[in-house]
Amino acid sequence: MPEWWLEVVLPSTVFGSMLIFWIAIPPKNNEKDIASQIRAWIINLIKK
Amino acid sequence: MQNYITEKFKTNTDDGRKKVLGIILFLIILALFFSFNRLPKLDIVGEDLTAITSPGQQCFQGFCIEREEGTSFISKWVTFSTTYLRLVTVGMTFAFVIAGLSEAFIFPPNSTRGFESGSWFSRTLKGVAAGPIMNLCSACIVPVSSAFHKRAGVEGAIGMVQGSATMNIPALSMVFFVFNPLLGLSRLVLAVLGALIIPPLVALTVKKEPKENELINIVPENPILELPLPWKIIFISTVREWSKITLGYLTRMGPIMIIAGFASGLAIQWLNPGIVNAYLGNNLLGLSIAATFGILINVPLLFEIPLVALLLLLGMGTAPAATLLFTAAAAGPITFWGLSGMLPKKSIASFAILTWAIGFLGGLIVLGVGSFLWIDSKPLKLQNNQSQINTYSDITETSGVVFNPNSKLEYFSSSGIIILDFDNDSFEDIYVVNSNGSNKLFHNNGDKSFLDVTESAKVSDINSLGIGGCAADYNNDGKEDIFITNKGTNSLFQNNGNGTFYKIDTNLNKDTSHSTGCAWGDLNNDGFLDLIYTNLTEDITNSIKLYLNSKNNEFEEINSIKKDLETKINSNQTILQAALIDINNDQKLDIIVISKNLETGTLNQLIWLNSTETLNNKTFFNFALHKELIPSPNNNSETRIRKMNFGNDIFISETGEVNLIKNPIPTIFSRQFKIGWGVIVFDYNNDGYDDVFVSTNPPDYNQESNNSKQLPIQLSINEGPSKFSPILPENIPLKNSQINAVAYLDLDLDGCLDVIVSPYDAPLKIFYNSCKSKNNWLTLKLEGTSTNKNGIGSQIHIETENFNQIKNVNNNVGQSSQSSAKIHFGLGESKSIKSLTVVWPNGKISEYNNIDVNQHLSLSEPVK
Repeated sequence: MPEWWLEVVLPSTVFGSMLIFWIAIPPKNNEKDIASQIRAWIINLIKK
Repeated sequence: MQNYITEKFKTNTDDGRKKVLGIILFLIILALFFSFNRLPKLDIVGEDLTAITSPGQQCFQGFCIEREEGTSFISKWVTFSTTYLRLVTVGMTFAFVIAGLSEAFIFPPNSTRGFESGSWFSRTLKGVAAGPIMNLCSACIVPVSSAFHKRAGVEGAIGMVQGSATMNIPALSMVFFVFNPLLGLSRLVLAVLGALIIPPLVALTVKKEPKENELINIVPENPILELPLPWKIIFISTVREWSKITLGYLTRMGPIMIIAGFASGLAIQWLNPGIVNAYLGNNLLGLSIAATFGILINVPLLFEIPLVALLLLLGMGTAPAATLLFTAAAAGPITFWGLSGMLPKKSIASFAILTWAIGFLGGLIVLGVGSFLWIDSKPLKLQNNQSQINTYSDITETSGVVFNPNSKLEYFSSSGIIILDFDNDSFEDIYVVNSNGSNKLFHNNGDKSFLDVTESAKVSDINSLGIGGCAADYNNDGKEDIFITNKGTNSLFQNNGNGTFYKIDTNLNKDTSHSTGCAWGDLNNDGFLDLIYTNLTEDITNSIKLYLNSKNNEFEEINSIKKDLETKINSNQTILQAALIDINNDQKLDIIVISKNLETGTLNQLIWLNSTETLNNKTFFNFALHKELIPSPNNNSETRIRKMNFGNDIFISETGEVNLIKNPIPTIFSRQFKIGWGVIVFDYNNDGYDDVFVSTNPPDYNQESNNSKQLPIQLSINEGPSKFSPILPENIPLKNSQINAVAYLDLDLDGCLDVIVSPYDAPLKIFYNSCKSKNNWLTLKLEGTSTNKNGIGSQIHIETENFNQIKNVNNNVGQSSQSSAKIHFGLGESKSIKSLTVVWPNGKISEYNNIDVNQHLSLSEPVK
């Protein structure tokens, strides 16, 4: 394993997971932000 | 208990529940962070300090004082900056995550406790106490302090930044270990002063009392009557908030971190001894520049320590060192930029000015007071005395040695080097084998110059494809002869004693294989040297050739090990090199062979122990395959290296136990040798500990070794049991060469060993040892009478007031080469040798007492 793997894998995993949480978990009070727009777009895509 | 928790954390409210969840998550993440990042990081700082304080090569994050020729400015800048970014990446990730966690869970935006509380002093103390727990650099802690700011105000936020970067325990303890008490104490005092003074003063510049209506607005109308949401609902919804805030920090601060990292890297590139001496001296200008430089750069946590150590070696004064040690840690451009998100510009300016001023003041005190208290103390405890360190310089051009083999054969067909004294003038000469033209014999003039005497000596062997060789007095006439291994028939040159050689015809010439390496040694202790050589052949039984010297220029092949080769050795093995060494101290030379497994690519050693017996004038050669050593990466033995031989590295302890070290070279900056071809073990600095010089395999030898950072040669200095520090010869000119052959000799008899390397495809190079160390030494040349003339197989014990040493007389070194036949002892500071004992191959013992140091001694075997 290359010596820099931790510096690449760890932030990617952490921030990638957070991006997924942000998009996947519905916001409280139906507030609108970029993540909820992406979520809505994905749901529409699946429904079609 | 439950009531206490409910009351204390207000778990009957949403915010209280968030806080409890936040604290639990924080503790889990903090524990993971310490386990996988902070504690291993201490090792990285330690490695940097080792590299900085090792002689000849001082580097910090890839920035080296001895710049490597051929490396561009851009390359050095990028290396430094990416190293910096790599070191802070995990810390920054932790900081962004904790900042998001703090804002989402611990201090949520509409929290009833989301405003400042306590006095300015209390808020400062909260920050100063919380900062060191995080253990982050000043830039990394900013996102966390930004979240903390809502609870503890400006004082708490700045206190957290200062506390984390300057008051963390590892940094404070390490400064006392690395620097003298003056610098250690100054760092401690400045850290405490900075953390307590700077935060309230910065707060003063932004302070405004909250208006009455602001306080009323942030208190919810009826906080108690609402029932809290279930824990699960709170957790999931707050995780979303956590993710959002963390990603916000990443997008806002990530790019600027990268830009500022490269900016810091750029600033470092202009450092050199001239600039440091001119601008960072013990004066007010030096203090001003150190303070300014410190706040203009960001360093990862703890890395201000190796940086200051490096600058001290470059000539920085102690006072600016004290200043820089504080300011480099305390703040930097990324810190200021991050804080600008929550503080007005004037408070950022006041933070920078106050950090600068505290650092300057600390330096001023060190300058004025400290010099009286610690006048004789070196600033850097680990500092080596550079003026007394042996270094190597390339003297090939002035030496008169011109040899460029430009080999046409495979890469493992090195141009072997043979060191011998063919005219017995005490100055050892150089014979180099060539696979693409004439071999060369260079006569040593004794003044660091050589004369090509190949033609007059008649040893060109021009019609052979030469690989390697070995020299010894096989016929006991007092003159060293040369055996050359060729691709094709081998050559034996007998020394006529008048400066010429005669190529004699023996049954050694019958073998037409592709021979590689050879060694002389007296296998049956009859006083005449026998021969072993190796062949590169698919027929494993023909890969090791053992010849008994029958005297009168006749040699008889011994087949004792052929059966083992046929039955016990994997047919995938290729035999590369053989040597004769008495492994088990029974006065009989044993056989060590290095082999390569063609399937796995691994190198192994095969050992045959010698149980040869002579009965009724008949010799029975018994060689038992003793051990096939499997390379093991680490050897933690405390025993000093006593013997080492070719290829991978044989390690034989004082007790005779055979071990193998695959890589005794520390892997600092990823310079790792996967396969060492030429390995010489010698005491380059005469400190009494044998050092290791390794030449490596070609970069394309296999995928594992295809490392662009790999350098072809490296000297690792033995600084005591199991501790090696790597250095490189000055002005290394062989960056892209493939070097198989290495040998050492003392070419001008100054008591320090010089090194010759023969690349496979580039001119031979001579590295001259500057011999600056004041260590003592002794060189011995043995002369056998009833045993072989060269005393090969003898063992020498010496005892000094400091330590005892044992060395064996053998001249097998690395791939196809042979070093000096003289035995060299480094003696450190020992003023005399209490006793010297020679155990001759036939078991005779010669004892000498009270020998003077720093001399070349010839010892003859007693006749009786």
